[in-house]
Amino acid sequence: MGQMANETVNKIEISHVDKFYGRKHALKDVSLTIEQGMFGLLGRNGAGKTTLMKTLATLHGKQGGSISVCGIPIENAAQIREITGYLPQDFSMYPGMTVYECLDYLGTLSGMEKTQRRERIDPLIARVNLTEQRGSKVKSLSGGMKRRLGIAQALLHDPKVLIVDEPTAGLDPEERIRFRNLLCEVAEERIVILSTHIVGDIEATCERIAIMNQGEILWRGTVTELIDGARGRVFAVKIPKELLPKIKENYIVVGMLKQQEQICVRLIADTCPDLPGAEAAEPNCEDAYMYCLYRSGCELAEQV
Amino acid sequence: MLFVKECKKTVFSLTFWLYVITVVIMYGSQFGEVLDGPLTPPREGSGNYGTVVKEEPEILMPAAVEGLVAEYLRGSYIAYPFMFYKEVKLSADKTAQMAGIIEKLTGISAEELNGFAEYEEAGMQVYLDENGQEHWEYREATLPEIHMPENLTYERFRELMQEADKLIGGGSQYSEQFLMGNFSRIPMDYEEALAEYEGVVADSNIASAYTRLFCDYLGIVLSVLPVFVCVSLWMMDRRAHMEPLVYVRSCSSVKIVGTRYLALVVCMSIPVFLTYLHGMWNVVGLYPDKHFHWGQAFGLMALWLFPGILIVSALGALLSELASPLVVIFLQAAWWFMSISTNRLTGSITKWTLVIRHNSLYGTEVFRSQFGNFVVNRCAYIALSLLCVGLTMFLYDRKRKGVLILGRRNDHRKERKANQ
Amino acid sequence: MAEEMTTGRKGKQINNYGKIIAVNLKYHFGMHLAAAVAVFVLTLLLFNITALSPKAAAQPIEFMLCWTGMVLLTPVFWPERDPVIRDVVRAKRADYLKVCLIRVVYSILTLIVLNTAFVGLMRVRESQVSLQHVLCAVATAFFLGAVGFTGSGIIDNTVVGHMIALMYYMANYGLKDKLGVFNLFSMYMNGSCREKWWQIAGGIALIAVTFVVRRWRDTR
Repeated sequence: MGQMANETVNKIEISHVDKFYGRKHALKDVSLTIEQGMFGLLGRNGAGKTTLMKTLATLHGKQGGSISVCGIPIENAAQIREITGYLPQDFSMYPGMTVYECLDYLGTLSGMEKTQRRERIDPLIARVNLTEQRGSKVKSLSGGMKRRLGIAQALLHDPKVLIVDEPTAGLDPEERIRFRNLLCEVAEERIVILSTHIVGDIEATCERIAIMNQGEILWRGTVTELIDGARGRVFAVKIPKELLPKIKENYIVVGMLKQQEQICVRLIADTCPDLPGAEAAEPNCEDAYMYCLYRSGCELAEQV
Repeated sequence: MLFVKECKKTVFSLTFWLYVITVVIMYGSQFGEVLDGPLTPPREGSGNYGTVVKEEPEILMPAAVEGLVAEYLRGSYIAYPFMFYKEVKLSADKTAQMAGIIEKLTGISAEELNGFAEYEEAGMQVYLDENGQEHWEYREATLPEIHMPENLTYERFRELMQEADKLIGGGSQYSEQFLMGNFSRIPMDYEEALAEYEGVVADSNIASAYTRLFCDYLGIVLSVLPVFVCVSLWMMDRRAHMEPLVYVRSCSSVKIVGTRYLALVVCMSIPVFLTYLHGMWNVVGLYPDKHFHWGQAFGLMALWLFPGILIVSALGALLSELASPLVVIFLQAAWWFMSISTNRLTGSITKWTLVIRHNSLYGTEVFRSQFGNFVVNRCAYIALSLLCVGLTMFLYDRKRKGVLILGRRNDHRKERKANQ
Repeated sequence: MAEEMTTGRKGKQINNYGKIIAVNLKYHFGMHLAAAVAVFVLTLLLFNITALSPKAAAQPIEFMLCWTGMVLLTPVFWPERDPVIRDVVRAKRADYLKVCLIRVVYSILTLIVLNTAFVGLMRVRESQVSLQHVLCAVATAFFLGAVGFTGSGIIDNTVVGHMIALMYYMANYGLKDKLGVFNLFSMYMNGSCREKWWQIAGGIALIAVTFVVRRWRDTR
């Protein structure tokens, strides 16, 4: 009995959730179980990731279904917020506040006591590498610094659940790697839900993922399962330049590399294409994601 | 086309529609009242034909001097520096100076004046009739006998009145603005009233008379509300984090700011123009036999109202580049309130009046006497608007080039210092 | 033990409210307070406040001092005008609307202090003012502020809120009697204080409705 309770306590259970914006069906019968560790939500822009994240962060209501976070029904917003940290897309804060004051105020809003805030803020600032900017105003921070401040405020009250929405968009590669590592570190003791449309982030950090499209969950499982599913469906072939338009017409092209007069094309197909020299290639996460969209009948954007 | 797009942005903003609603309500509720029927000529024998202000020194001088002596003896002076009633008490030094002015006007010395013990303030007094019933009647103030020196010329009198007004702090009953209206108002007779009526309904005047009243009402709205529409449009980029995206386009700052400003002014002028047309259409219906001088009337409306939209929008745009929208709104609202408070309903057009008032179909002569001020005023505001727009273009360009980063410069400086 | 825990929790909450108030006063109130003080000073400059009759004393209060309400209450939602900042704040345990309510409360207290001080100054200058004038000043400013607050809260745009408040103020010049008990200039026009109770009640209702609408919108 106690074990059962413990299982619920470290899980987010989403069951048949619907959400509408006016007439737009933003979430369609979404069901997911998210356990401790990093969980990735992958999908195109407008797939419904942010809506689901905001619903989990109690910023939006839902019209149908149920959600429980660590055993607490989502309707109990105050309790959910106590155990949740949220980093929105394009994090921003009162521009006139300094980094320290900003964390101190948000810690207060999270119900932290003064001593707790004092103990936690400076180490956290150091952890996100903002010590030099401790006294700087938010408006003078760069995009990457703001994002680091964002993650600091989300972690400040030591939440059981961390919800991060597109955290690495717009960051330089070094910053992105640092950010991903930080997320992996904090995910050791909590549930971290990461939403992104950057497949590389998911590949580098998440074990379990879900793919969303038009408000629906298209696929859920591990990254390995996703890649395995695409095995034998990704092919590489060298073709003359002139043939490229025709290839694009008939296949989903996921990569191109120009080699003198020829182009090495990476494409997705159910069977090996009838092209000289075509051979199966080892799929990566990005190929697998594209294959998943293709298999689910999603209209894929015309490739350039 | 950029202009059409800016117009669309303006028209699809909520503030614009609130502005339109206010213009329409103001027009309907205020100007609509005079559209109920045509002006009627005075009826002979009705006895009351109103009053007229005439510059007649024989009436004006004794009345004004009596008023000044009464206020001196009472120890306080009524003034309307901002249209609202204010009671001014003078210091001992200024009281002595005022006594000097009165001496020049009446020959009564300060000692005599201060020693006048019979003074009683004007006011309502109760008395009992033979049946013991209470009756109230107005009693004039009890003042010393006043004989104005024979050598006191009208010009000298006006100068002394101005000195007295200066001592009181302006806006007193003896100011240029109020002197005639307060002390030289005489009842009209039938012929005068009829002449005034005929003057207003004459073919050459009637359209202008109705236009003046229309502009009087609409001017109140147009001297403040455009700032909201302007600030909303100027904030739109900032709110949508669009500024960097717009900054990097090849379009020049002059074109961006100029087009935006022009779109604002054009869009906000349309409801004014339409309500004006509607109003004048109705006026034509009231006077079917008249030949209206539309060119003159339309010119008057354009010169009266559009500079208001121009200056409020231009200032709104300029200040939006410099300060928080709330500061911009506050400053404009304060300026509007002060302007509307300092004006009388008719006949107080100065060279810097923002809200020009002429709340009457009559008073053509009064308006004409201040027409010079009116034209200078409106032209000055047009020029000031262009200056503000030019400055806005300059500031916008500086911001685009990263030369001017308001509010951030200090932080960067501090940061640099800290890092050194 | 349970009692100790409850006391501890309460103490913590009080500390946190103290901090919330301090931060909001420091970062989000200065500009609005400055505007309210500017209105106070402008009223002193524009109007006579010396030796006024009870009715005449209502004029500066109702015609200009009431703007203190507009500049204090309308911008309550202004600090979180950026939806991203609002999301960050709303995602915290403390109820965002409670934070707004705190702002409303200290804005009203400031409004009471300023308006009472003004009436006090009138009394010092020998105007015939009484507690009724304090009520009149506070009620007028509060109601005008509540109109702006509702406009900005429901439409989610502080500029529009100010515009609505100013439109309402202008309507008082033109529509007068048509506004009934909600005519801001009622004391100056009728010499009566009865309408002011309605204005207080109306202001409370407007603020309550705004909070209900915002709550409903947040949980939708």
